[in-house]
Amino acid sequence: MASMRDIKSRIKSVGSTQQITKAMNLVATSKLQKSKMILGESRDFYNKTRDIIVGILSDSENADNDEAINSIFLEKRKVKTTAIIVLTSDRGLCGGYNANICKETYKKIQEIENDLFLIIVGSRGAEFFSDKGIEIKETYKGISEKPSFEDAFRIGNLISKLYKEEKVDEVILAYTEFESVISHIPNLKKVLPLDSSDFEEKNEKNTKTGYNPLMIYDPGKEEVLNYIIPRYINTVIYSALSESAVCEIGARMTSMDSATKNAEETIDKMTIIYNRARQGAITQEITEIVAGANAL
Amino acid sequence: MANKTHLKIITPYNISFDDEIEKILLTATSGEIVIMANHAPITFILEECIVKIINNENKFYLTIMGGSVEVLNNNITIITDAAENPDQIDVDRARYSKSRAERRIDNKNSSEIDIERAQRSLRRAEIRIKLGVMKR
Repeated sequence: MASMRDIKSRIKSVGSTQQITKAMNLVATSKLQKSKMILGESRDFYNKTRDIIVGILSDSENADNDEAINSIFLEKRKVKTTAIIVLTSDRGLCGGYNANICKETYKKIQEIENDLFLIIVGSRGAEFFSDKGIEIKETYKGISEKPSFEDAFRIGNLISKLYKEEKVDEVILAYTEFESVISHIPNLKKVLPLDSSDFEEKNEKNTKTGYNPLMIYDPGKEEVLNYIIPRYINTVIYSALSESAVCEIGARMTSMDSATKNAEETIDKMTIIYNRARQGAITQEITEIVAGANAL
Repeated sequence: MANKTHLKIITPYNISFDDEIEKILLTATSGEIVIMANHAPITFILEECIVKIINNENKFYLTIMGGSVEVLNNNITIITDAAENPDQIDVDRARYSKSRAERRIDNKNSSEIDIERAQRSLRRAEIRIKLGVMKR
């Protein structure tokens, strides 16, 4: 059996670890509230941008003269290079958050037969994929927990540019969807080329905001569309970044919560062992004294 | 009373304006546009510009960093990356970023992307300075 002093120092060390995890849990809880709010605030922007695209697409569909809209962002071309953007965190201690999204992406990468253009957000993801020996073309660090629109803008502009120059022919965004505090789903979403059927679905439900036959587009439908789509991509990336941030913090909160509970249990268990050892020592001492007295 | 229209300015971070107004003056890619109440439905692209909003004899100005405008059912919706009122503008900072952008454009070693970015930030800085100085 370990000595009393050993047990005591272990209890102490578990106790201080518990304090850290407890503090991290509290920090994560308050951050979660904040980042949830940010996620909500960007909704309006996203919806409105989407509405305009819905409007333009349904407008061209309903037009009698078949003015088909040609946009490089809508047209499907033969895929030679696939770009994947993976959103992970910079720091660990957040349960299976990074492992889940990386695993899901890795599966996808193995399915892809053409060239790959990998963009990683967060150093955890960068570590994972460089360990696997996959070439990473671009890494963004320090933005995972508190993404700003400028960050999304930078990534969005990069991919829009690559796409326009036909350096990549398909763009997939790998992020974690936030369902509830305990349920986060890794998700792969195709952002480019845009699938016009994605936009049809919605305009049936809200024809009121989407389609208006009298709408004038200045300078022209195509120009507006080609201007809006890269911005739409930016907002998609921004909401994915914010959503992943909420997941990261949520995952950290739950894992820190369970770590705190775990430490509690360990301390309880070790206290029992410590008390047993203490009792044992007292009993032994009494036995020795009694034996000594008897010997006299 | 019927000659009022509703204006909403949406940025990624918040809704920075949401109120009834009489008219608004903006710069679209095809030129300056004034929108008054009951305007026909139109969607257009905005330049980085200073917008002038007029409501009951009150005039106020905002800088808008590009974006798009949709007018529908007497509602104007501006979607932009950033909207600032004169109080939020830091003229010194704008001056600094203007000179930095100019240096970058002059520098022969800058890549194409850098120059493109510098030109954007130059435009932004210029309109910020314009509005910031005007208000002083």
